[in-house]
Amino acid sequence: MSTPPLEPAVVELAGITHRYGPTVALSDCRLSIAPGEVHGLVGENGSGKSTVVKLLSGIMRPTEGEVRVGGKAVDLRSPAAAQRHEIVTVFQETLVSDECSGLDNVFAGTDGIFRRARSGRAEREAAERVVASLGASPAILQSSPHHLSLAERQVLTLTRALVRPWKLLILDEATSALDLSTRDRLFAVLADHRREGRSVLFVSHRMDELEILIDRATVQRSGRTVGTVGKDEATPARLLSMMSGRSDAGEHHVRAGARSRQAADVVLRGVDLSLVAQAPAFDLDVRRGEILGIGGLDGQGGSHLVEVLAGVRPTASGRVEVDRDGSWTRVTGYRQAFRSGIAYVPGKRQEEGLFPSMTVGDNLSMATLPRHARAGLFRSSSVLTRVREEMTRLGVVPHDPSYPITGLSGGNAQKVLVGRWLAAEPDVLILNDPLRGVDLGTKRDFYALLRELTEAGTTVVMLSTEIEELLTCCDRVAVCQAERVFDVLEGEDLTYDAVLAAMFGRHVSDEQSSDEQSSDHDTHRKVTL
Amino acid sequence: MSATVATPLLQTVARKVPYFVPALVAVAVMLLLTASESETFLSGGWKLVLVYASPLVLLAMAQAPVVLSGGGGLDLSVGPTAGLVSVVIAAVLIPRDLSVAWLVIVVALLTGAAAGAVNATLVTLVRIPPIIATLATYLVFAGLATQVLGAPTGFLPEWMSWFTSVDGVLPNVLYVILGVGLVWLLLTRTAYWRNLLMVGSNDRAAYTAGVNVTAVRFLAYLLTGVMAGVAGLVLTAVLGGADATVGPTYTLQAIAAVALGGLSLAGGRGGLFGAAVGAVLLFLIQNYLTLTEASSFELQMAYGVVLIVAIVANGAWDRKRKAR
Repeated sequence: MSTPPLEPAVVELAGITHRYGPTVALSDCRLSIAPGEVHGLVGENGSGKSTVVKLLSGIMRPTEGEVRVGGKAVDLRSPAAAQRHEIVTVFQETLVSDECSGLDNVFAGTDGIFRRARSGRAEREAAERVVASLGASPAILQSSPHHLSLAERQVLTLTRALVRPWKLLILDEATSALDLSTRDRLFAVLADHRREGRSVLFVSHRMDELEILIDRATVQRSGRTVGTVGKDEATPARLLSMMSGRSDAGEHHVRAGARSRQAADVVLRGVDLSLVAQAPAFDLDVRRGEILGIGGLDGQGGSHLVEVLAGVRPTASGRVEVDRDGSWTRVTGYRQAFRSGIAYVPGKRQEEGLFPSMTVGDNLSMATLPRHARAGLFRSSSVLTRVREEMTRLGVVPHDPSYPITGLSGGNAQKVLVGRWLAAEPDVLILNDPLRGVDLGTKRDFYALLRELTEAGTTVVMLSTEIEELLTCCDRVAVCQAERVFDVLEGEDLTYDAVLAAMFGRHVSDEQSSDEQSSDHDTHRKVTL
Repeated sequence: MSATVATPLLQTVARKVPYFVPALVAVAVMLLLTASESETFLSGGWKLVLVYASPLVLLAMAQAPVVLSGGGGLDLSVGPTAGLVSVVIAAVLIPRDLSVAWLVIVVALLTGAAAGAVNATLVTLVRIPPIIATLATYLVFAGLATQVLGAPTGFLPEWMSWFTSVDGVLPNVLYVILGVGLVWLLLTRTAYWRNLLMVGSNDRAAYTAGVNVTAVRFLAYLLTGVMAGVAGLVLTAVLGGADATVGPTYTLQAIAAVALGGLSLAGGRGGLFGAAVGAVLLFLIQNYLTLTEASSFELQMAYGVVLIVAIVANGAWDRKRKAR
């Protein structure tokens, strides 16, 4: 499966393991980058690829194992240290300061605390050369970047990397902020660098870009290195099948109990919806009584979509409407959505959901207290009765309303959080990645609970970053990619491979045809490397 | 790709005009008001006003580096540090006849630096939030000053009256302020300035770019301490002695002055000049209200109102500036 590099590696990860507390993010990772190659790094959420990037760029140090640069073990204890070893990184978020000029943004970090490494003139000349090679105006170096576009800001961070001496450039989803012409200029620039023996580690969720650019690719799955393949083998179909761990890319995996719903019976819909400024618009229907899964890689719009549907986040354009007794009511905000029967359970439960200093009962009854009030005063016996009923229904362990919420396991805490909103008897329940970090048994209970709810007529929209979970639990799955719904899958089409392919902006049917005629469907301009 | 449509006038103004200009305009207005209220102000009264304002001006300047360094950067202990310095001069050095100018000045700067180093350690190495860490040192320094000097004292060496003299064309204390400003100006010509602004406005960007965020912030607290030391020296001269209870009263005024001067309390925007202008503005308002015989309660309320107006205006100004 792996092709040995021809020359000694520029940078090598040898048996790297990284743990965050009890969680193993990366296990025995092996990655070797040859001089002059563009090395792809792919994998779905939680595969460990962002951990690899953080280790190589000096943001974290590995728990076990060695990072080798030019064959020698090195300690990349800070981004500055990584840069001294000539490893530079450009991240997906455009990390620029709005208070410094573009030029200062480019050269900050090259100096000592007081001593400037270069004269202002040398800096300007070097930066202007790089900026021009990327097809941007040198004017972006002069002013502060407040009013620059996202692409121009990313040109600044690319310039920051390219003006430094480097042997390895890490592009961590860095191209997603670029417009197409800038991206193509970047690829041409990288081709020149490659000829001079410099290497690129290219992390991308865009199969078309990977196809154009890479020489070899390493695939990560669940924190483990699946293997490294050469260019000929690194077809989208092959990479996707390595990511999913299934040998047969065409396997269809129909979920038992999936029910198709009448398309006409829509309870919540997005019309001409655009999640962030300049993102493409799309429509989305949520059908009454279904469980609609929202999937996608982190940062591709899934989280924005559930927030927009719940009225927590404003839309960039377009509208969200909810069916209220036969007429469409526009969702304009969180409280108004709640009154219209939409309940939203936020993601990060510690920060956004729970009141850690209060009891289980308090946490559970928080949203519906006014219903137990007479003349503005709570009747605690009525609250308590309701809380006990709710805890029985949800199966919260221990069954004790006075228990501190912080004493509950993740799954039970999540049940309490969901229960808080269920008590309000919503028509639509929107869940933002409710089961992240919850054990399997609790997950199963939770799926059953959701199923029960839908049978009683509630509609559920659930964001999940795990494909298996979407397949197990949902009737339909909307996959987000590049801040839009790329595809909605249901019935026979709802398979592991289809969801995974959609996360990377592909349709499974493309993959089958692409195996036969390798690159005809690629609409983007190719750059010869 | 940047704004090609005609940008609204206010936005253009907000983008082009330096951050300290609104405060400067307000100072000009206050000067006119003061001059209309007091006949002697223009003919030399202003020099005395500046002498009395100088400890506040220096403490506001001292506050600037930590505020600029971001991450909730703030030094509540600048007042007590200045107070401690004056107590060290008046109750430790002078009674032992160690009152040579150079020695007093060096000890003042070192005491300030030591206080700054304590804050820097707590904030950047122990990683206590600045407001908590410096509240703790506020209490410790203030307590220490009272411990060393229970009752106010008033014996100063002859040379210290230089600071308060208004016989020259300009009051001497202005040279001290300009001196501190000059040292800062030199510092802004080094890489430290861009390191500081980068760290203050976006510490993640700074860190991943390779800036030593910890060192840059540590140095900011140290510089603040040293400047508080200078302020302590001047405070001693202005008071004509030392009083352990006076220093702490300056802290909140210094922070208010920094906000008035247009610095962003979130970090990354502003400079020492703005802080000094803000302090002058605050002092002129106080002076004007005293001239018009406002009560001390009214004075306090005026401080509060001015501060709120300043912070709201600051925010509005910033939004205009950053609007795309």
